[in-house]
Amino acid sequence: MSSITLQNVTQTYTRRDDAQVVLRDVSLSVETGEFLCVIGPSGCGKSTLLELMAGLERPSRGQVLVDGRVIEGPGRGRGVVFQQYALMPWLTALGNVEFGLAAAGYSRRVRRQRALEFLDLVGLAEYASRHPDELSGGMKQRVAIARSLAISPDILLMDEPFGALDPETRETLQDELLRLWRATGHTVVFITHDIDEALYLGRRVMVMARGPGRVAAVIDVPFADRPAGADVRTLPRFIELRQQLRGMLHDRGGDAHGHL
Amino acid sequence: MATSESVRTMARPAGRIASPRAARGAAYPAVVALKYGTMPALLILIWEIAPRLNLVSPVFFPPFSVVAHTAWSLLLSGVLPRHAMASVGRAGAGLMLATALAVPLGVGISASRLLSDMLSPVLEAFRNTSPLALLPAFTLVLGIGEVSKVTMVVYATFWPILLNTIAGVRGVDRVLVKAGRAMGLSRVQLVTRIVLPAAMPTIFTGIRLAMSAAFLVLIAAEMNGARAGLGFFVNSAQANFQIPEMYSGILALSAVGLFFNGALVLLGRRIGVLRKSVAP
Repeated sequence: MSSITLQNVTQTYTRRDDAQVVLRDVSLSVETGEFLCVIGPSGCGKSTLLELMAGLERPSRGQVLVDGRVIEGPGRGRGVVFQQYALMPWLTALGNVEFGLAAAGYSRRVRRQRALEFLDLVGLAEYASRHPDELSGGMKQRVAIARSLAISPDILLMDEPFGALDPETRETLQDELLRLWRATGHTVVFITHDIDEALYLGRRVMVMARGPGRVAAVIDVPFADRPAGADVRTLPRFIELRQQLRGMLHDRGGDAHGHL
Repeated sequence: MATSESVRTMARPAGRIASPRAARGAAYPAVVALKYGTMPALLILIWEIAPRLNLVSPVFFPPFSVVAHTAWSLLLSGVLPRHAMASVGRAGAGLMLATALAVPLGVGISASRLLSDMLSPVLEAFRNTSPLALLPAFTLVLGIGEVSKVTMVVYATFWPILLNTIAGVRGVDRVLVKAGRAMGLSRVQLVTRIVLPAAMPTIFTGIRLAMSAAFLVLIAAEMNGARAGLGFFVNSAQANFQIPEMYSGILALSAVGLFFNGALVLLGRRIGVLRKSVAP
Protein backbone atom coordinates (compact mmCIF):
# COMPACT_ATOMS: atom_id res chain seq x y z
CA MET A 1 0.00 0.00 0.00
CA SER A 2 1.17 3.46 -0.76
CA SER A 3 0.74 7.12 -0.01
CA ILE A 4 0.88 9.84 -2.62
CA THR A 5 2.08 13.40 -2.19
CA LEU A 6 2.07 16.49 -4.36
CA GLN A 7 4.53 19.22 -3.42
CA ASN A 8 3.88 22.71 -4.81
CA VAL A 9 2.82 21.37 -8.18
CA THR A 10 2.27 23.91 -10.91
CA GLN A 11 1.19 22.79 -14.35
CA THR A 12 1.42 25.08 -17.35
CA TYR A 13 0.45 24.37 -20.93
CA THR A 14 1.83 26.43 -23.74
CA ARG A 15 -0.36 26.78 -26.77
CA ARG A 16 0.55 29.18 -29.55
CA ASP A 17 2.85 31.31 -27.36
CA ASP A 18 0.06 31.49 -24.83
CA ALA A 19 1.02 29.99 -21.50
CA GLN A 20 -1.96 28.77 -19.56
CA VAL A 21 -1.65 27.90 -15.88
CA VAL A 22 -3.80 24.85 -15.26
CA LEU A 23 -2.72 24.18 -11.69
CA ARG A 24 -0.98 26.63 -9.38
CA ASP A 25 0.99 25.55 -6.37
CA VAL A 26 -1.05 22.50 -5.43
CA SER A 27 0.13 20.60 -2.38
CA LEU A 28 -1.67 17.56 -1.16
CA SER A 29 -1.00 14.38 0.75
CA VAL A 30 -3.06 11.21 0.49
CA GLU A 31 -2.34 8.70 3.22
CA THR A 32 -2.03 4.98 2.71
CA GLY A 33 -5.49 3.41 2.55
CA GLU A 34 -7.28 6.75 2.40
CA PHE A 35 -10.26 7.49 0.18
CA LEU A 36 -9.90 11.06 -1.08
CA CYS A 37 -12.47 12.71 -3.30
CA VAL A 38 -11.50 15.72 -5.38
CA ILE A 39 -14.32 18.00 -6.39
CA GLY A 40 -14.33 21.19 -8.37
CA PRO A 41 -15.97 23.04 -11.25
CA SER A 42 -15.07 22.02 -14.79
CA GLY A 43 -11.83 23.60 -15.89
CA CYS A 44 -10.31 23.59 -12.40
CA GLY A 45 -7.63 21.12 -13.47
CA LYS A 46 -8.86 18.11 -11.51
CA SER A 47 -8.30 15.73 -14.40
CA THR A 48 -4.83 17.17 -14.88
CA LEU A 49 -4.22 16.53 -11.19
CA LEU A 50 -5.12 12.88 -11.69
CA GLU A 51 -2.92 12.55 -14.77
CA LEU A 52 -0.01 13.98 -12.80
CA MET A 53 -0.58 11.37 -10.11
CA ALA A 54 -0.82 8.64 -12.74
CA GLY A 55 2.45 9.77 -14.25
CA LEU A 56 0.80 10.51 -17.59
CA GLU A 57 1.91 14.15 -17.26
CA ARG A 58 5.05 15.66 -15.79
CA PRO A 59 4.56 18.69 -13.55
CA SER A 60 5.97 21.95 -14.91
CA ARG A 61 7.11 22.73 -11.39
CA GLY A 62 6.99 20.84 -8.11
CA GLN A 63 7.01 17.12 -7.46
CA VAL A 64 4.70 14.13 -7.31
CA LEU A 65 5.87 11.48 -4.86
CA VAL A 66 4.67 7.96 -4.18
CA ASP A 67 5.89 6.62 -0.85
CA GLY A 68 8.34 9.50 -0.70
CA ARG A 69 9.87 8.83 -4.13
CA VAL A 70 9.50 11.14 -7.10
CA ILE A 71 7.63 9.33 -9.89
CA GLU A 72 9.11 9.24 -13.38
CA GLY A 73 6.07 8.01 -15.28
CA PRO A 74 3.21 5.53 -15.09
CA GLY A 75 3.79 2.57 -12.85
CA ARG A 76 1.96 -0.67 -12.18
CA GLY A 77 1.50 0.39 -8.56
CA ARG A 78 -1.12 2.86 -9.76
CA GLY A 79 -4.27 1.80 -11.57
CA VAL A 80 -6.31 4.36 -13.48
CA VAL A 81 -10.06 4.22 -14.20
CA PHE A 82 -11.38 6.65 -16.79
CA GLN A 83 -14.87 8.05 -17.22
CA GLN A 84 -14.95 6.75 -20.80
CA TYR A 85 -14.13 3.22 -19.60
CA ALA A 86 -11.22 2.90 -22.06
CA LEU A 87 -11.99 -0.73 -22.84
CA MET A 88 -10.47 -2.25 -25.96
CA PRO A 89 -13.52 -2.79 -28.21
CA TRP A 90 -11.95 -5.78 -30.03
CA LEU A 91 -11.44 -7.71 -26.80
CA THR A 92 -14.00 -9.47 -24.63
CA ALA A 93 -14.54 -8.49 -21.00
CA LEU A 94 -12.15 -11.28 -20.03
CA GLY A 95 -9.70 -10.23 -22.73
CA ASN A 96 -9.70 -6.66 -21.43
CA VAL A 97 -8.83 -7.73 -17.89
CA GLU A 98 -6.17 -10.08 -19.28
CA PHE A 99 -4.82 -7.19 -21.37
CA GLY A 100 -4.08 -5.20 -18.22
CA LEU A 101 -2.46 -8.21 -16.61
CA ALA A 102 -0.29 -8.80 -19.68
CA ALA A 103 0.79 -5.16 -19.64
CA ALA A 104 1.73 -5.53 -15.98
CA GLY A 105 3.89 -8.54 -16.84
CA TYR A 106 1.77 -11.39 -15.49
CA SER A 107 2.63 -14.69 -17.15
CA ARG A 108 0.22 -16.20 -19.65
CA ARG A 109 -0.40 -19.04 -17.25
CA VAL A 110 -1.90 -17.00 -14.42
CA ARG A 111 -3.64 -14.33 -16.49
CA ARG A 112 -6.81 -16.21 -17.38
CA GLN A 113 -7.42 -17.47 -13.86
CA ARG A 114 -6.78 -14.10 -12.28
CA ALA A 115 -8.91 -12.25 -14.83
CA LEU A 116 -11.82 -14.58 -14.12
CA GLU A 117 -11.40 -14.03 -10.39
CA PHE A 118 -11.63 -10.28 -10.74
CA LEU A 119 -14.55 -10.38 -13.17
CA ASP A 120 -16.27 -12.50 -10.55
CA LEU A 121 -15.37 -9.93 -7.89
CA VAL A 122 -17.25 -7.22 -9.81
CA GLY A 123 -20.14 -9.60 -10.53
CA LEU A 124 -19.50 -10.13 -14.23
CA ALA A 125 -18.32 -13.75 -14.35
CA GLU A 126 -21.18 -14.67 -16.69
CA TYR A 127 -20.30 -11.87 -19.08
CA ALA A 128 -16.66 -12.82 -19.55
CA SER A 129 -17.07 -13.55 -23.27
CA ARG A 130 -19.05 -10.39 -24.10
CA HIS A 131 -17.50 -7.55 -26.03
CA PRO A 132 -17.78 -3.99 -24.65
CA ASP A 133 -20.48 -3.06 -27.16
CA GLU A 134 -22.60 -5.82 -25.70
CA LEU A 135 -22.34 -4.45 -22.16
CA SER A 136 -24.21 -1.60 -20.46
CA GLY A 137 -22.32 1.45 -19.24
CA GLY A 138 -22.33 0.18 -15.67
CA MET A 139 -21.01 -3.19 -16.74
CA LYS A 140 -18.28 -1.60 -18.85
CA GLN A 141 -17.11 0.43 -15.88
CA ARG A 142 -17.10 -2.74 -13.75
CA VAL A 143 -14.85 -4.39 -16.32
CA ALA A 144 -12.57 -1.36 -16.23
CA ILE A 145 -12.48 -1.50 -12.44
CA ALA A 146 -11.73 -5.23 -12.54
CA ARG A 147 -8.92 -4.53 -15.00
CA SER A 148 -7.40 -1.94 -12.67
CA LEU A 149 -7.80 -4.02 -9.52
CA ALA A 150 -6.45 -7.23 -11.08
CA ILE A 151 -2.92 -5.86 -11.23
CA SER A 152 -3.06 -5.25 -7.44
CA PRO A 153 -2.32 -1.56 -7.56
CA ASP A 154 -1.51 0.20 -4.32
CA ILE A 155 -3.25 3.33 -5.50
CA LEU A 156 -6.46 3.51 -7.50
CA LEU A 157 -6.89 6.75 -9.46
CA MET A 158 -10.42 7.32 -10.71
CA ASP A 159 -11.35 10.18 -13.06
CA GLU A 160 -15.11 10.76 -12.78
CA PRO A 161 -15.66 7.02 -13.27
CA PHE A 162 -19.42 7.11 -12.71
CA GLY A 163 -20.03 10.42 -14.45
CA ALA A 164 -21.60 8.86 -17.54
CA LEU A 165 -23.90 6.45 -15.69
CA ASP A 166 -27.55 6.81 -14.82
CA PRO A 167 -28.25 7.71 -11.17
CA GLU A 168 -29.41 4.24 -10.17
CA THR A 169 -26.41 2.42 -11.60
CA ARG A 170 -24.15 5.11 -10.17
CA GLU A 171 -25.42 4.53 -6.63
CA THR A 172 -24.99 0.78 -6.96
CA LEU A 173 -21.45 1.18 -8.19
CA GLN A 174 -20.67 3.66 -5.42
CA ASP A 175 -21.68 1.05 -2.84
CA GLU A 176 -19.71 -1.63 -4.65
CA LEU A 177 -16.66 0.58 -4.77
CA LEU A 178 -16.89 1.22 -1.03
CA ARG A 179 -17.23 -2.51 -0.42
CA LEU A 180 -14.16 -3.24 -2.53
CA TRP A 181 -12.24 -0.44 -0.85
CA ARG A 182 -13.07 -1.79 2.60
CA ALA A 183 -12.06 -5.29 1.51
CA THR A 184 -8.79 -4.34 -0.19
CA GLY A 185 -7.67 -1.17 1.57
CA HIS A 186 -6.38 0.52 -1.57
CA THR A 187 -5.50 4.18 -1.51
CA VAL A 188 -8.15 5.81 -3.68
CA VAL A 189 -8.17 9.22 -5.33
CA PHE A 190 -11.58 9.82 -6.83
CA ILE A 191 -12.35 12.79 -9.06
CA THR A 192 -15.95 13.91 -9.33
CA HIS A 193 -18.07 16.97 -9.94
CA ASP A 194 -20.96 15.57 -7.92
CA ILE A 195 -21.14 16.88 -4.35
CA ASP A 196 -23.21 13.97 -3.00
CA GLU A 197 -20.86 11.47 -4.57
CA ALA A 198 -17.84 13.15 -3.00
CA LEU A 199 -19.43 13.24 0.46
CA TYR A 200 -20.75 9.70 0.20
CA LEU A 201 -17.49 8.10 -0.91
CA GLY A 202 -14.68 10.24 0.43
CA ARG A 203 -13.17 10.18 3.88
CA ARG A 204 -11.79 13.56 2.96
CA VAL A 205 -12.98 15.88 0.23
CA MET A 206 -10.63 18.28 -1.49
CA VAL A 207 -12.42 21.24 -3.04
CA MET A 208 -10.72 22.90 -5.97
CA ALA A 209 -11.25 26.31 -7.48
CA ARG A 210 -10.37 27.43 -10.95
CA GLY A 211 -8.66 30.24 -12.76
CA PRO A 212 -5.99 28.91 -12.14
CA GLY A 213 -6.73 25.54 -10.61
CA ARG A 214 -5.86 25.44 -6.93
CA VAL A 215 -6.88 23.88 -3.65
CA ALA A 216 -9.73 25.82 -2.06
CA ALA A 217 -10.35 23.66 1.00
CA VAL A 218 -9.97 20.16 2.38
CA ILE A 219 -12.87 18.86 4.44
CA ASP A 220 -12.95 15.82 6.71
CA VAL A 221 -16.07 13.76 6.19
CA PRO A 222 -17.40 12.55 9.53
CA PHE A 223 -19.20 9.43 8.32
CA ALA A 224 -16.19 7.15 8.44
CA ASP A 225 -17.54 4.64 10.95
CA ARG A 226 -20.91 4.09 9.36
CA PRO A 227 -21.92 0.48 8.93
CA ALA A 228 -21.71 -0.89 5.40
CA GLY A 229 -24.86 -0.15 3.48
CA ALA A 230 -26.12 2.55 5.83
CA ASP A 231 -27.45 5.49 3.89
CA VAL A 232 -25.85 8.61 5.28
CA ARG A 233 -27.30 10.84 2.58
CA THR A 234 -30.31 11.72 4.73
CA LEU A 235 -28.36 12.62 7.88
CA PRO A 236 -28.66 16.29 8.92
CA ARG A 237 -24.86 16.58 9.00
CA PHE A 238 -24.63 15.30 5.43
CA ILE A 239 -27.14 17.86 4.24
CA GLU A 240 -25.28 20.56 6.13
CA LEU A 241 -21.97 19.61 4.47
CA ARG A 242 -23.64 19.50 1.09
CA GLN A 243 -24.85 23.07 1.55
CA GLN A 244 -21.40 24.12 2.70
CA LEU A 245 -19.71 22.57 -0.35
CA ARG A 246 -22.27 24.02 -2.70
CA GLY A 247 -21.59 27.44 -1.27
CA MET A 248 -17.85 27.01 -1.69
CA LEU A 249 -18.10 25.86 -5.29
CA HIS A 250 -20.36 28.78 -6.18
CA ASP A 251 -18.15 31.32 -4.49
CA ARG A 252 -14.98 30.08 -6.06
CA GLY A 253 -15.80 30.01 -9.70
CA GLY A 254 -18.52 27.46 -10.26
CA ASP A 255 -19.92 27.10 -13.73
CA ALA A 256 -21.86 29.94 -15.25
CA HIS A 257 -24.54 27.39 -16.13
CA GLY A 258 -24.98 26.46 -12.49
CA HIS A 259 -23.26 23.17 -13.17
CA LEU A 260 -22.48 22.65 -9.50
CA MET B 1 -21.62 -7.35 -7.26
CA ALA B 2 -25.22 -6.99 -6.24
CA THR B 3 -27.51 -9.28 -8.16
CA SER B 4 -30.21 -6.68 -8.59
CA GLU B 5 -27.97 -4.47 -10.71
CA SER B 6 -26.74 -7.39 -12.77
CA VAL B 7 -30.30 -8.29 -13.56
CA ARG B 8 -31.14 -4.72 -14.44
CA THR B 9 -28.20 -4.28 -16.75
CA MET B 10 -28.88 -7.66 -18.30
CA ALA B 11 -32.17 -6.34 -19.58
CA ARG B 12 -30.28 -4.19 -22.09
CA PRO B 13 -30.25 -5.80 -25.50
CA ALA B 14 -26.91 -7.25 -26.53
CA GLY B 15 -26.54 -6.24 -30.19
CA ARG B 16 -24.59 -9.03 -31.81
CA ILE B 17 -25.94 -12.03 -29.95
CA ALA B 18 -29.46 -12.38 -31.23
CA SER B 19 -29.73 -11.03 -34.74
CA PRO B 20 -33.34 -11.34 -35.87
CA ARG B 21 -32.18 -11.76 -39.44
CA ALA B 22 -30.11 -14.82 -38.55
CA ALA B 23 -33.03 -16.27 -36.66
CA ARG B 24 -35.39 -15.76 -39.59
CA GLY B 25 -32.88 -17.23 -42.03
CA ALA B 26 -32.54 -20.35 -39.98
CA ALA B 27 -36.29 -20.73 -39.75
CA TYR B 28 -37.23 -20.15 -43.40
CA PRO B 29 -34.46 -21.01 -45.86
CA ALA B 30 -36.94 -20.71 -48.71
CA VAL B 31 -37.64 -17.08 -47.84
CA VAL B 32 -33.93 -16.32 -47.80
CA ALA B 33 -33.40 -18.01 -51.17
CA LEU B 34 -36.25 -15.99 -52.62
CA LYS B 35 -35.01 -12.74 -51.13
CA TYR B 36 -31.43 -13.05 -52.35
CA GLY B 37 -32.02 -15.14 -55.47
CA THR B 38 -34.74 -13.21 -57.28
CA MET B 39 -32.64 -10.43 -58.81
CA PRO B 40 -29.81 -12.69 -60.07
CA ALA B 41 -32.35 -15.09 -61.55
CA LEU B 42 -34.14 -12.22 -63.26
CA LEU B 43 -30.90 -10.89 -64.78
CA ILE B 44 -29.93 -14.31 -66.10
CA LEU B 45 -33.40 -14.68 -67.58
CA ILE B 46 -33.07 -11.35 -69.41
CA TRP B 47 -29.60 -12.37 -70.61
CA GLU B 48 -31.06 -15.58 -71.96
CA ILE B 49 -34.14 -14.12 -73.63
CA ALA B 50 -32.89 -10.82 -75.05
CA PRO B 51 -30.48 -12.37 -77.61
CA ARG B 52 -32.98 -15.10 -78.48
CA LEU B 53 -35.62 -12.47 -79.31
CA ASN B 54 -32.96 -10.56 -81.28
CA LEU B 55 -33.30 -7.57 -78.99
CA VAL B 56 -29.51 -7.61 -79.01
CA SER B 57 -27.29 -9.34 -81.49
CA PRO B 58 -26.82 -12.98 -80.45
CA VAL B 59 -23.44 -12.91 -82.15
CA PHE B 60 -22.02 -10.16 -79.95
CA PHE B 61 -24.13 -11.04 -76.95
CA PRO B 62 -24.84 -14.80 -76.92
CA PRO B 63 -27.55 -16.14 -74.61
CA PHE B 64 -26.53 -17.10 -71.09
CA SER B 65 -26.86 -20.83 -71.75
CA VAL B 66 -24.34 -20.65 -74.60
CA VAL B 67 -21.84 -18.70 -72.49
CA ALA B 68 -22.39 -21.02 -69.53
CA HIS B 69 -21.78 -24.06 -71.72
CA THR B 70 -18.53 -22.61 -73.06
CA ALA B 71 -17.45 -21.52 -69.58
CA TRP B 72 -18.11 -24.99 -68.21
CA SER B 73 -15.97 -26.70 -70.84
CA LEU B 74 -13.20 -24.10 -70.40
CA LEU B 75 -13.36 -24.80 -66.70
CA LEU B 76 -13.12 -28.55 -67.16
CA SER B 77 -10.32 -28.28 -69.73
CA GLY B 78 -8.31 -26.24 -67.24
CA VAL B 79 -7.96 -23.20 -69.50
CA LEU B 80 -9.94 -20.81 -67.28
CA PRO B 81 -8.34 -22.06 -64.03
CA ARG B 82 -4.87 -21.55 -65.51
CA HIS B 83 -5.56 -17.94 -66.50
CA ALA B 84 -7.42 -17.25 -63.27
CA MET B 85 -4.51 -18.55 -61.22
CA ALA B 86 -2.09 -16.31 -63.12
CA SER B 87 -4.22 -13.25 -62.33
CA VAL B 88 -4.89 -14.24 -58.73
CA GLY B 89 -1.18 -14.81 -58.11
CA ARG B 90 -0.27 -11.34 -59.41
CA ALA B 91 -3.11 -9.59 -57.58
CA GLY B 92 -2.37 -11.43 -54.34
CA ALA B 93 1.37 -10.78 -54.45
CA GLY B 94 0.81 -7.10 -55.23
CA LEU B 95 -1.79 -6.69 -52.53
CA MET B 96 0.39 -8.30 -49.89
CA LEU B 97 3.41 -6.23 -50.86
CA ALA B 98 1.34 -3.04 -50.82
CA THR B 99 -0.07 -3.90 -47.38
CA ALA B 100 3.40 -4.59 -46.02
CA LEU B 101 4.57 -1.20 -47.30
CA ALA B 102 1.52 0.99 -46.73
CA VAL B 103 0.54 0.00 -43.19
CA PRO B 104 3.89 0.83 -41.52
CA LEU B 105 4.19 4.02 -43.57
CA GLY B 106 0.65 4.99 -42.62
CA VAL B 107 1.38 4.46 -38.94
CA GLY B 108 4.56 6.53 -39.30
CA ILE B 109 2.74 9.36 -41.07
CA SER B 110 0.04 9.46 -38.41
CA ALA B 111 2.61 9.42 -35.63
CA SER B 112 4.92 12.07 -37.03
CA ARG B 113 3.76 15.53 -37.94
CA LEU B 114 7.07 16.18 -39.71
CA LEU B 115 6.89 13.02 -41.83
CA SER B 116 3.28 13.82 -42.66
CA ASP B 117 4.08 17.39 -43.75
CA MET B 118 7.10 16.29 -45.77
CA LEU B 119 5.35 13.50 -47.63
CA SER B 120 1.89 14.93 -48.15
CA PRO B 121 2.56 16.94 -51.37
CA VAL B 122 4.19 13.94 -53.03
CA LEU B 123 1.54 11.56 -51.79
CA GLU B 124 -1.25 13.83 -52.99
CA ALA B 125 0.32 14.04 -56.45
CA PHE B 126 0.78 10.29 -56.77
CA ARG B 127 -2.61 9.49 -55.33
CA ASN B 128 -4.25 11.62 -57.99
CA THR B 129 -2.27 10.05 -60.81
CA SER B 130 -4.31 7.20 -62.25
CA PRO B 131 -2.34 3.96 -62.33
CA LEU B 132 -3.76 3.35 -65.79
CA ALA B 133 -2.02 6.50 -67.01
CA LEU B 134 1.22 5.09 -65.68
CA LEU B 135 0.70 1.70 -67.34
CA PRO B 136 2.67 2.56 -70.50
CA ALA B 137 5.50 3.96 -68.37
CA PHE B 138 5.65 0.86 -66.21
CA THR B 139 5.66 -1.30 -69.33
CA LEU B 140 8.48 0.74 -70.85
CA VAL B 141 10.66 0.60 -67.77
CA LEU B 142 9.83 -2.83 -66.40
CA GLY B 143 8.83 -4.71 -69.54
CA ILE B 144 5.73 -6.83 -69.97
CA GLY B 145 6.72 -9.53 -67.48
CA GLU B 146 5.50 -10.30 -64.00
CA VAL B 147 7.49 -7.49 -62.40
CA SER B 148 5.68 -4.73 -64.23
CA LYS B 149 2.26 -6.24 -63.52
CA VAL B 150 2.87 -6.81 -59.82
CA THR B 151 4.32 -3.30 -59.60
CA MET B 152 1.16 -1.93 -61.16
CA VAL B 153 -0.94 -3.73 -58.58
CA VAL B 154 1.28 -2.50 -55.74
CA TYR B 155 0.98 1.06 -57.01
CA ALA B 156 -2.79 0.90 -57.36
CA THR B 157 -3.45 -0.80 -54.02
CA PHE B 158 -0.93 1.18 -52.01
CA TRP B 159 -3.08 4.36 -51.82
CA PRO B 160 -6.34 3.03 -50.44
CA ILE B 161 -4.43 1.03 -47.82
CA LEU B 162 -2.20 3.96 -46.90
CA LEU B 163 -5.04 6.46 -46.65
CA ASN B 164 -7.20 4.11 -44.62
CA THR B 165 -4.31 3.32 -42.30
CA ILE B 166 -3.77 7.03 -41.69
CA ALA B 167 -7.49 7.60 -41.13
CA GLY B 168 -7.72 4.53 -38.92
CA VAL B 169 -4.76 5.46 -36.75
CA ARG B 170 -5.88 9.09 -36.44
CA GLY B 171 -9.32 7.88 -35.45
CA VAL B 172 -8.11 5.73 -32.58
CA ASP B 173 -9.81 6.80 -29.35
CA ARG B 174 -7.19 8.81 -27.43
CA VAL B 175 -8.42 7.44 -24.13
CA LEU B 176 -7.38 3.91 -25.19
CA VAL B 177 -3.84 5.12 -25.74
CA LYS B 178 -3.94 6.98 -22.46
CA ALA B 179 -5.12 3.84 -20.69
CA GLY B 180 -2.30 1.89 -22.33
CA ARG B 181 0.24 4.44 -21.15
CA ALA B 182 -1.20 4.28 -17.65
CA MET B 183 -0.72 0.50 -17.77
CA GLY B 184 2.94 1.10 -18.50
CA LEU B 185 3.07 0.05 -22.16
CA SER B 186 6.08 1.21 -24.17
CA ARG B 187 5.69 3.26 -27.37
CA VAL B 188 6.13 0.17 -29.54
CA GLN B 189 3.65 -1.78 -27.43
CA LEU B 190 1.16 1.08 -27.69
CA VAL B 191 1.33 0.78 -31.48
CA THR B 192 1.22 -3.02 -31.72
CA ARG B 193 -1.25 -3.72 -28.92
CA ILE B 194 -3.58 -0.73 -29.07
CA VAL B 195 -3.23 1.52 -32.11
CA LEU B 196 -3.04 -1.17 -34.79
CA PRO B 197 -5.84 -3.38 -33.43
CA ALA B 198 -8.03 -0.32 -32.88
CA ALA B 199 -7.35 0.93 -36.42
CA MET B 200 -7.72 -2.52 -37.95
CA PRO B 201 -11.37 -2.25 -39.07
CA THR B 202 -10.54 0.90 -41.07
CA ILE B 203 -7.31 -0.59 -42.44
CA PHE B 204 -9.23 -3.68 -43.42
CA THR B 205 -11.75 -1.58 -45.33
CA GLY B 206 -8.78 -0.11 -47.18
CA ILE B 207 -7.58 -3.59 -48.08
CA ARG B 208 -11.01 -4.49 -49.43
CA LEU B 209 -11.07 -1.31 -51.54
CA ALA B 210 -7.55 -2.10 -52.67
CA MET B 211 -8.61 -5.51 -53.86
CA SER B 212 -11.04 -4.15 -56.42
CA ALA B 213 -8.37 -1.66 -57.52
CA ALA B 214 -5.91 -4.56 -57.84
CA PHE B 215 -8.07 -6.46 -60.30
CA LEU B 216 -8.98 -3.32 -62.21
CA VAL B 217 -5.40 -2.36 -63.06
CA LEU B 218 -4.23 -5.93 -63.38
CA ILE B 219 -6.78 -6.73 -66.06
CA ALA B 220 -5.80 -3.58 -67.92
CA ALA B 221 -2.13 -4.54 -67.65
CA GLU B 222 -2.83 -8.08 -68.84
CA MET B 223 -4.77 -6.76 -71.81
CA ASN B 224 -1.82 -4.53 -72.60
CA GLY B 225 0.57 -7.43 -73.00
CA ALA B 226 0.75 -10.81 -71.33
CA ARG B 227 0.84 -14.51 -72.06
CA ALA B 228 -1.55 -15.55 -69.31
CA GLY B 229 -4.17 -14.09 -67.02
CA LEU B 230 -7.88 -13.41 -67.33
CA GLY B 231 -7.29 -9.96 -68.83
CA PHE B 232 -5.15 -11.51 -71.55
CA PHE B 233 -7.73 -14.25 -72.09
CA VAL B 234 -10.68 -11.86 -72.47
CA ASN B 235 -8.74 -9.59 -74.79
CA SER B 236 -7.42 -12.35 -77.04
CA ALA B 237 -10.82 -14.06 -77.17
CA GLN B 238 -12.32 -10.81 -78.41
CA ALA B 239 -9.52 -10.35 -80.96
CA ASN B 240 -10.10 -13.88 -82.24
CA PHE B 241 -13.87 -13.38 -82.32
CA GLN B 242 -14.42 -16.13 -79.74
CA ILE B 243 -17.35 -14.29 -78.23
CA PRO B 244 -18.70 -16.95 -75.81
CA GLU B 245 -15.09 -17.43 -74.62
CA MET B 246 -14.77 -13.71 -74.01
CA TYR B 247 -17.89 -13.66 -71.84
CA SER B 248 -16.65 -16.78 -70.05
CA GLY B 249 -13.50 -14.89 -69.14
CA ILE B 250 -15.56 -11.96 -67.85
CA LEU B 251 -17.73 -14.32 -65.80
CA ALA B 252 -14.60 -15.92 -64.38
CA LEU B 253 -13.36 -12.46 -63.38
CA SER B 254 -16.58 -11.73 -61.51
CA ALA B 255 -16.35 -15.10 -59.79
CA VAL B 256 -12.76 -14.50 -58.73
CA GLY B 257 -13.63 -11.03 -57.43
CA LEU B 258 -16.64 -12.31 -55.50
CA PHE B 259 -14.61 -15.16 -54.10
CA PHE B 260 -11.82 -12.92 -52.84
CA ASN B 261 -14.13 -10.33 -51.35
CA GLY B 262 -16.03 -13.10 -49.58
CA ALA B 263 -12.78 -14.63 -48.35
CA LEU B 264 -11.61 -11.25 -47.02
CA VAL B 265 -14.89 -10.66 -45.22
CA LEU B 266 -14.77 -14.11 -43.66
CA LEU B 267 -11.16 -13.55 -42.64
CA GLY B 268 -12.11 -10.18 -41.17
CA ARG B 269 -14.87 -11.73 -39.09
CA ARG B 270 -12.61 -14.55 -38.04
CA ILE B 271 -9.92 -12.24 -36.70
CA GLY B 272 -12.62 -10.02 -35.28
CA VAL B 273 -12.11 -6.80 -37.23
CA LEU B 274 -15.46 -7.00 -39.01
CA ARG B 275 -18.79 -7.26 -37.32
CA LYS B 276 -21.27 -9.84 -38.54
CA SER B 277 -23.44 -7.02 -39.82
CA VAL B 278 -21.00 -6.24 -42.66
CA ALA B 279 -22.48 -7.55 -45.87
CA PRO B 280 -20.19 -9.98 -47.67
